[in-house]
Amino acid sequence: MKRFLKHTLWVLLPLIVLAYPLDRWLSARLKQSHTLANGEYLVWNDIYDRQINSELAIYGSSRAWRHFDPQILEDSLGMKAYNLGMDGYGFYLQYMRHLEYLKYNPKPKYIILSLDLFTFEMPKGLYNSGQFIPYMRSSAYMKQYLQPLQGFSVYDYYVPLLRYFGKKTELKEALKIGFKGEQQPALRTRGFAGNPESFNEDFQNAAKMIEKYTVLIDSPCVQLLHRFLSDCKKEDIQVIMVYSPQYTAIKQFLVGKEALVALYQKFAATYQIPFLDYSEDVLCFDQSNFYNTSHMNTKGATLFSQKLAHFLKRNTLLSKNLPVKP
Amino acid sequence: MLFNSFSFALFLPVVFALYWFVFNKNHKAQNILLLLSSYFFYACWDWRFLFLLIFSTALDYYSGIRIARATKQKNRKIWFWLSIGINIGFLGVFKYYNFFAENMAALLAQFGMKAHPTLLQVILPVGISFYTFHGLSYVIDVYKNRIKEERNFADYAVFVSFFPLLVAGPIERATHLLPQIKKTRYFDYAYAVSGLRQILWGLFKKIVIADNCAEMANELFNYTSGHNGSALWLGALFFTFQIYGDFSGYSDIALGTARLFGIDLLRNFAYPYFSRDIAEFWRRWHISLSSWFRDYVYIPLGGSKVALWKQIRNTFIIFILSGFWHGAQWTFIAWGVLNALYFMPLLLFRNNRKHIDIVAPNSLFPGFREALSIALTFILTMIAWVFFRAQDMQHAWLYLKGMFSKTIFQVPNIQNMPKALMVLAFIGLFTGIEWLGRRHTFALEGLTKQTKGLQYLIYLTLILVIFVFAGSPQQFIYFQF
Repeated sequence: MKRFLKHTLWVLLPLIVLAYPLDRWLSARLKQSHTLANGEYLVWNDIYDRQINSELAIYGSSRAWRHFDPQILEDSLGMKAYNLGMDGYGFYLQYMRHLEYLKYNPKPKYIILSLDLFTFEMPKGLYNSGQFIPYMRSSAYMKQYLQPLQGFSVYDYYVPLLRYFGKKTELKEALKIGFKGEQQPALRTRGFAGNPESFNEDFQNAAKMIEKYTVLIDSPCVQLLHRFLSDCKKEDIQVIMVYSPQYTAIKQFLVGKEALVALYQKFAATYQIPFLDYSEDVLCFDQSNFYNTSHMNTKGATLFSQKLAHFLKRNTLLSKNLPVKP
Repeated sequence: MLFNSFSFALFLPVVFALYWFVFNKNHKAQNILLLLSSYFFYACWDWRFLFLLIFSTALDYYSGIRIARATKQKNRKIWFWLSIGINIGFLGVFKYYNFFAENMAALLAQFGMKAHPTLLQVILPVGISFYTFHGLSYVIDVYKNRIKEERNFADYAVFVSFFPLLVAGPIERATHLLPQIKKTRYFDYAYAVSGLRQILWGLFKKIVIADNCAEMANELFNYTSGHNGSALWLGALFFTFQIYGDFSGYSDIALGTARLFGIDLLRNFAYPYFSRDIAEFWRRWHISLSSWFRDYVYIPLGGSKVALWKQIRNTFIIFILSGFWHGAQWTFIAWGVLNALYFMPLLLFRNNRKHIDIVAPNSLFPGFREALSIALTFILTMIAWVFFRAQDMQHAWLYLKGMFSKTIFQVPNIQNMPKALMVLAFIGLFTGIEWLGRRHTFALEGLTKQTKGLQYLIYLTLILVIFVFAGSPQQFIYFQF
């Protein structure tokens, strides 16, 4: 038996000894990635390195980081802005990012909360899960909010190296950066990245497969938005809810958008905050502003950011009685 | 608790340590430990079904005693059929009720009669087909006086529920496993090392081969109409290796784990894709199920010692039952029928026992004819797997139609071609290793002949490959059966 245990230990020893330093090394390299996980590492690094010292923060999903150009808002409004839009997630994980952001950075004066069709949808699993890997062992909020979602096991948060199991893309990126350094330009600037592409044909393909999309309103997300808005009120942070443009053709597939907008309006009324609905704006009817049905390209994002900045400026951002319609 | 999960990686050493260091003085205590561990392992899936498992175990245990005790043949028969009836009844309710109810309603509708059967919304208890077959074989063997009834409940319960084989086999026989459970077991270094080696190889098969193949096969089977013929052939190939890697990987982990406890389980796979005809394939694929049907259905029906038409009938019965055992779907039945059809020429020309030994036992490569036979058998098997994997019969026909369309000569239109090439490279490497190890019960078994340094290097390389190239985790296919 002694011989068996000794030999087994000899095989496992390199894994046990190397697990922790290798984990640290890989995580440190992966954090340097400028492009992987749609540039989310850049935003997480800014959060954890206390680099976000902005008066205006933009929250939301991919529609946030693709549509709201902080530079345009900054130039127009004269205040520092940062886009914290999170790829692929509704409010459930946006709220987790909000908590992390406030934990390490000074609170903003204003938050633009980008709303869309998926805001109240609970994630089914972890999309783009690689973005959490370097940080999840040390972040209590990540543990709390990611654990109920399928994607990582409970051991991944505690056992070194385990969460890299089978993560070929992340391992490859970390090794590449480790040996060559990061040579790609940063995908996002202060959280924002425009996409210069013109409208692609994914919509036509998707239209063949999906007949209808029913908007989901999951109550845990609704509860979180209530908590968020109450907290912001207490902290004296002004929230402006914005439903950014979506290509008009998407309407034919949607079921339940009216109820969703009504819910947003109810939130706005309850907390006395502005709700700016651009989902029927003139920008929505021009295909050249989009690269797919729910995302604007660089041209569209520029036009929209200018329009929003102009509106906020004209109506004075600090006012608590902004009109509901832009 | 999956075999390839971290939970199992914690569970196994704990049970191992208790077994060899705390309860090593008393094999009865070891058996109790194995039983409690097995029940805990099963409860991790769904604790409610643990009661069903315990009930099924108790029923067969008690039936065995009553059958043995009965002085009149009539009483023996009553207890025998009671046990068989309840066991089959459980399978019928949990696994087959909805299938029969739906098909009966469809049949009645053909005659203009409307029926609205009540369908059961129940989850299939994991492993029910496996532990039911354990119990059935025991009761039949006691009834046929092949074995003595078991009087120790704990020993019998370990035979049914031993955690390595509980949820996906191999389907054990009381004659093979019970004597091992009853005797004192001693730790054997070589045996335990061989067990760990088999576990490692099983993990490689499951995590690297099966899970990566699954990702590719899912793309092709889920979006069949969007792919050309050559891509669909690749999809069938990926599934062929997925199911082999998945199930034989599971079996390797089960056998290896059992070895750590000094227990030898029945071998379930013997390099089936190197078979030279379909009869040989079925002697090498899911051996514990094939031999179960052979011993408890085929031979009682007369086996091969009856007239030719009866042999043909028996063959069809076995294959259809085998298909139906996998699940209540027409696709599984079609898979069984197709295999029976493949078998017919061999039966008619009395060639079904031509290839008993492993191919090319004394040479590195097979002869030309052997290679051709292997390739043909492999292709036939691959086509049959399409029925196994398809969602329904319509889907299977659509898939096969695509496979045999003119687009077979086009470049495969697979979305993630680099990934497909990587998986193909792994399949090639895996097949090569299996070929070199085909004389052993599992491919890595022959490592004992290598130097310690080389063995060590191979272990670490395998661990590294598993770590880096693991596919996205998939449920073991055979858990659903």
